Amino acid sequence: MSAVSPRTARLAALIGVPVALVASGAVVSTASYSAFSSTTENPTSNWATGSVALTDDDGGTALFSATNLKPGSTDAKCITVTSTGTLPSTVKLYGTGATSTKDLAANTTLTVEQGTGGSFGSCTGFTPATTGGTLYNASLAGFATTHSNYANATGGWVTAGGTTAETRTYRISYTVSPTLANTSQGASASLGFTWEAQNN
Amino acid sequence: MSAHTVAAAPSRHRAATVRRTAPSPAPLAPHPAADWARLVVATASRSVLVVLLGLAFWAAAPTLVGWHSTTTVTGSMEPRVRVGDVVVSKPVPTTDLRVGQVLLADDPDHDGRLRFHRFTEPGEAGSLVTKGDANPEADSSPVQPDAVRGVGMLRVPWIGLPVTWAREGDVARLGLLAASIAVLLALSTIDGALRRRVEGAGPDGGRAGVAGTSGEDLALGVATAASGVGAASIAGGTPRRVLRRQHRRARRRRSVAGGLSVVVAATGIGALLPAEAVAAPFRAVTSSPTSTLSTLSLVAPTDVRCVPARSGTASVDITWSYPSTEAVPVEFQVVATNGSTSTVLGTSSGTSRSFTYEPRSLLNLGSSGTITVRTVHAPTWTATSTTQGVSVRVSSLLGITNVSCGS
Repeated sequence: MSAVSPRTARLAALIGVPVALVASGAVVSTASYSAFSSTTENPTSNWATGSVALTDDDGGTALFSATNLKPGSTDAKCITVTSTGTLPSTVKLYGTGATSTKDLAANTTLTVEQGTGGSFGSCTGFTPATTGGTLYNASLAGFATTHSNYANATGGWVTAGGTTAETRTYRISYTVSPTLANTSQGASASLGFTWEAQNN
Repeated sequence: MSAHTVAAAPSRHRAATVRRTAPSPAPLAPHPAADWARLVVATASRSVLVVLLGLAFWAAAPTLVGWHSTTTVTGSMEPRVRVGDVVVSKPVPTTDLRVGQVLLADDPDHDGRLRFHRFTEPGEAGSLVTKGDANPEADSSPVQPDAVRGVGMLRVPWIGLPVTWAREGDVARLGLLAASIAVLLALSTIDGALRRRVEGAGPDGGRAGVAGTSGEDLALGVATAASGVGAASIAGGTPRRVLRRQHRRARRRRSVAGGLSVVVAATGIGALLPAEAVAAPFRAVTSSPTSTLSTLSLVAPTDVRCVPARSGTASVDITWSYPSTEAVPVEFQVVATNGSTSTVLGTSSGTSRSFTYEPRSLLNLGSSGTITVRTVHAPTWTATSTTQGVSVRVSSLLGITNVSCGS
């Protein structure tokens, strides 16, 4: 094997730079092409870097399907929301699909509390959080207008992520105004509740 | 740069020994294989470092023309955009936004944060509905066109990883990275001595005068200039002792200049690199199906009748019909109307369909009248049966109160 001549050494020193610059340009252009050239989406469920995930215990059943309500009617139900995401996240609550006829929603009070204990079947054992226990206590009609998406949602429940599931129970109750007018006979109101988690 | 000095020292010593004992230049390079290995390792190290610098250049340079460089810190656009990628977005007029583009926009859900999600469909009132490719649903809050900062154009892989590590406080990885770069820097200089042989020992018969010529070190600009100065001061016929002294000085200058230029380059790139972190946000939702509340409709009793008193009792039975499918009222009220005066004769439970009226005294005389029955759900929520000509009459004969049905 012949010795390394200074000329060879100098050539080697020079050659690496343009090669590496070309390589970095190739990496960037290839990566950009795969990221932005196509407009179709490939959904993936393989989140090696972590994710957020949220479930509840209602089994697809609505909290309330109340009929024949009259002035003063009231009820309360609980629902437990579980965060199983590995990323720290903030869980918030907002309303969807609000409807109302004959002023029923405007004359019904909605109360949303957060705490621990209880489940979808029964609120037995539910304990509101000592601070920030009440998330909402105003008209049913107002909930979906003031809390319609994540940006204006209520309840900042910060989860730590990791491998341990975290739960929180929400108690949702309504009271039809005792002075609901006779003209609100046969009225109806509807509202869906959505909990959304976004990573912090 | 310390490895540079260490690597160079033995050859200097070797050169001195050789001069005293054997004038042959051959022992200057006793291990060609080791020299080739050093050359390969140094070249590879330089290449890796220059690739990294090149990536940093692509991540940083577009900001000079007003594009936005941002680091992706979550995987909601996977697999297209991964954590640690720097994405470069080009500002475009809002009229040029198209469905399918990946938009960089102010996140309406988090003040001061950016959203880097795909534009999936036009929303209400000119807004743009976006969705992370890896998110199961579209974002609940649409983006306004004036919040869009740009459209994703370049993706520079890996280069933002230090930013994400710093964000997570991952000191271990940051330290490992710094150590790796230090090692690469050191390795990239171990072939310096091969380029700067003092003796004209190379197979090409190179003279001592070429010693100190430009080593294309990592720090190209400043190092080259410094070594150029070093080379210029070395003349061909200078005595070897002087030559070596000048050579050592030049090497020190190169080391200092090289170190300085690395610091300058690192600082410049660090300043240009996006400190701004995109939280291409992950989202997950769980919903309670729509709850419904509906109020009852008031239904009045029908078919009100009066059943005459049985013999020996001073009472009549009032009966009525009420559909069992309707809401059970709190109570039914039996009302007697005499002219403009209405008197509640009594109440019956919501499940009963009859009421026994038994006047107790003469005070009930005034309660005679036309009978109606009222469904009561709440004080103001009542429905009264229509008048059907049913009436009761309370009479008193010799101090005995009697009641009978009338018509």
